[in-house]
Amino acid sequence: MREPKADPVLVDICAVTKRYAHHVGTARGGRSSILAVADLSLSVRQGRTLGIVGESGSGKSTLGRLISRLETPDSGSIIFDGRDVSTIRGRELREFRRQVQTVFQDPYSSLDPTKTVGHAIAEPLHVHREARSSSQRRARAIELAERVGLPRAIIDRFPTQLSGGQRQRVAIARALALGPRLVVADEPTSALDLSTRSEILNLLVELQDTEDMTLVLISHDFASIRHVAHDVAVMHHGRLVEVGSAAHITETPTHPYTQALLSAVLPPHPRVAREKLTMRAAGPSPTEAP
Amino acid sequence: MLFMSKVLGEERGAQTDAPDAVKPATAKPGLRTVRHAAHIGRGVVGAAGTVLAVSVVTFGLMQLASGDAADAIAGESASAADVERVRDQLGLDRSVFVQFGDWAAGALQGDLGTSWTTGRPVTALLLEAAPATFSITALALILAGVVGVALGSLAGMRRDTLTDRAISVVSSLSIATPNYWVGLVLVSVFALSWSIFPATGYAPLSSGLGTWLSFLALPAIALGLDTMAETTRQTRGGVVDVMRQPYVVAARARGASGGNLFRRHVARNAAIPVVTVFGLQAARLLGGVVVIETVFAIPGLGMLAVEAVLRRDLPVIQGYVVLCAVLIVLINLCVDACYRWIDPKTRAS
Amino acid sequence: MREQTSSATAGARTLLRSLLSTPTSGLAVAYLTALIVVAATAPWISPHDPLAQNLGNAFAGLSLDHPLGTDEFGRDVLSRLAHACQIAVVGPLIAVAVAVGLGVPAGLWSGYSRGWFARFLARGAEVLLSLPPIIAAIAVIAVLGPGLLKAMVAIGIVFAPRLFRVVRGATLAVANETYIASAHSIGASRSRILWGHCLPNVMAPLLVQVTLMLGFALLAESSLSFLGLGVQLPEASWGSMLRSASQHQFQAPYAVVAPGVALTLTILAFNTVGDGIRDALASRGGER
Repeated sequence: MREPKADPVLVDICAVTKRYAHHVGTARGGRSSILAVADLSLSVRQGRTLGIVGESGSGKSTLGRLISRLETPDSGSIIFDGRDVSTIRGRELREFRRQVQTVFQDPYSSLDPTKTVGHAIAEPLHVHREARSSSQRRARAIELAERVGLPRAIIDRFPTQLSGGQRQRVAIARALALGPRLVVADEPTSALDLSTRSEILNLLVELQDTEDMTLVLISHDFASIRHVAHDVAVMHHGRLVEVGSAAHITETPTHPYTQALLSAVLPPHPRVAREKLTMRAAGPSPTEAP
Repeated sequence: MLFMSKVLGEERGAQTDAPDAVKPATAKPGLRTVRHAAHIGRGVVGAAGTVLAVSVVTFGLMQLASGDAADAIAGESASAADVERVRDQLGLDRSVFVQFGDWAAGALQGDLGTSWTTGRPVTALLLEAAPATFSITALALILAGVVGVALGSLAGMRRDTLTDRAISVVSSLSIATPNYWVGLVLVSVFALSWSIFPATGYAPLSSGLGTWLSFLALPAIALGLDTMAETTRQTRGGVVDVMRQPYVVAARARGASGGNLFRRHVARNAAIPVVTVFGLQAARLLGGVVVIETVFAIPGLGMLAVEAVLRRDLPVIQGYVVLCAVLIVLINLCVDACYRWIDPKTRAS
Repeated sequence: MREQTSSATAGARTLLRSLLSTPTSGLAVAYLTALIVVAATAPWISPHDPLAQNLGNAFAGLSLDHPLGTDEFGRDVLSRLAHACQIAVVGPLIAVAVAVGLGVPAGLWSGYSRGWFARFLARGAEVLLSLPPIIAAIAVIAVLGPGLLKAMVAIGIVFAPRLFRVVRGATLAVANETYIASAHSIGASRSRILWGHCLPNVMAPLLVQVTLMLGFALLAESSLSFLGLGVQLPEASWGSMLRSASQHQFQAPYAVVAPGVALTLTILAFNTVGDGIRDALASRGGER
């Protein structure tokens, strides 16, 4: 692994907060809001893989959506490549979208069922007017499909004819089409069979290296992340509890919540009795009065 | 009238049976009346909003039409000055908002303006035409309700028998057949060939119940036929559903007889979807009756409206459309009330 | 986009095949095809000129020369019936085209963008839908005036909120799908998302509605023509034929039969095809 200090910062998240309106499911129809991300600051270094780990409801997906500007922060700012992108619109946002791509969790719903695979892969090129003729797009789609390990014949198929792993490869090929600087992958393997999970994860990490891009990998599964990410950020109840290099955090976790996450994944040491740690660590409940 | 039965039925069905059906029935008795009142209050406000919106839209439409209306009234040989005078008389030169305000203020007091072609108050014209229309519609509803519920219950209780199949074929056919054409055929057969009923026209109730009914029988059958078929289907569906419920199966196992079973267990539960559909059909019949009136030459609201369109008598059209909106909104409120009365689950919320 | 068109034609072919494989909808498709053929060839296959009067031969009974007899002006009923097929085909198409043109873009937009104006549109559509279609059509014809084209435009306007509602409802569901978020995330424009992703995915319910609506539009056309607000005499539509038949019912009580049967069968055929498409699409959705 590379030296942590060497790489410049690509994304700088400064004191970002995001709340969601939340309708409590009672007959009275009460109202409150959920604090998904609370005053969070974090840097993503260029050319590295950052793993964001947390249990469901920890706000890690919201953080991912904020980084890729699918959500706008309520307060705070997100600096991408030296520019504040938290409120950009129009042409600037378009340019930002060219550079930052997202791989979604569920490949069964992230591909339009009415479009062929080739169309899905080449759509970013079409949108950003990079390949104007349909034969150009087709050639690029074949090239990208092969790069993610799919047979070229697949580009004329429809997503419904594909397995989950194949679909996620299509989604990755689509994310690669524009040669992005940053790819945010939100739980890219959790909807897949156990057998294909590591394939997809390895593909992402390998592409991060060969395509010279930055990867943000969001997962609830510490075990898989710590092997592939350079850095790890641990989230709990919308807050960051620990950040550092993957090796460092795995070996010497300081926060009890991180320890709890790790104790849930690490095999018990043969000589040391496994310490049972509860998942109820620090931090207020995410549901607060508005 | 078959008009949009499928599209309309589905949409509006969803709209009416949705409210509050899932909420738990755990309200305290004291709160219940309050909530009841609040629910009715909301309904009335919504209804008033709908009528207002329909009035605004119709008024807007009539504004679009009123330009050449002045030309039409002034006559083909009229000079520009004549047209201007007509516009002045009709108040068309004032601002749209003033005109609508005047109209709405009058409407609230029951004054819907003056017919351009007859010079008579629109309210009077509508009131004269309304009894005929209401008579046909009410009779069609009663007929459709009684026969439809009876046939539907029969089919549902004897599911998959010959009776059931025959009833379902007849109701499918009745739904597909345009009911104004049914009216024309009925006239040919029962009035012209066999002379059982008068072919056309209308006699008010004051001329005797028998005479009144003899004029209304054919129009009501023609108008109510597909409503009857729709009610039959709904009733059958409701009865079939209820018959599958464990408590009915248990009652049958205890040896409850057909009639007793139907009265005690099936009727009320099967009534819920029927009431909903029935209410929607009542609103729909107001559309269907327009054409039926022309078939039987009955001087009702529909004929009034059609003639008004042909003569560009805009105040009459405006009054007619708004009256229809009021009626439909009232019907919907009644359906809602019936619904809550029948289904105790919705009463509590 | 070549991929899209090829998928659309392939879809249409599968749909047609599954329609033809069920006896009832196959029959309905065959009937409608025949109707279109008759409409297209009416001027050549009709035994007489549909407008040629022969007052000496009014209300003639069935004969070899006039298989369905003649009307009050001695015009050949069969020829008029055949020519009326043209209106039965073209009229509903005009109305549905108007409804699609107004309702689909508005429905897509209102289902995708959730601002106050989108909700206002939806509420407005509810209000318009509270009136029975024929009453609403009468109000619109009061503005446009009577006549076939105007009546069909009026029907299209009246039907537009219904399509709007169907499209909006389906779009609301589609807009929550991840592939819409995905299109958004690559920087696709709103119009690309609406027309390129939402529309193809709401096509199934839209297609069913449009087919059913053709039947309702035909019924509406005939009703308005019967009232004298649609097709103007002497031109023949089934509705206007019923109108003149009803005006001369004392002389020829059974002149109402033929146009009415044609009308009923055609409406039934549209409804059957609509139901067939719904079933076919539902079973195909189940495979996925």
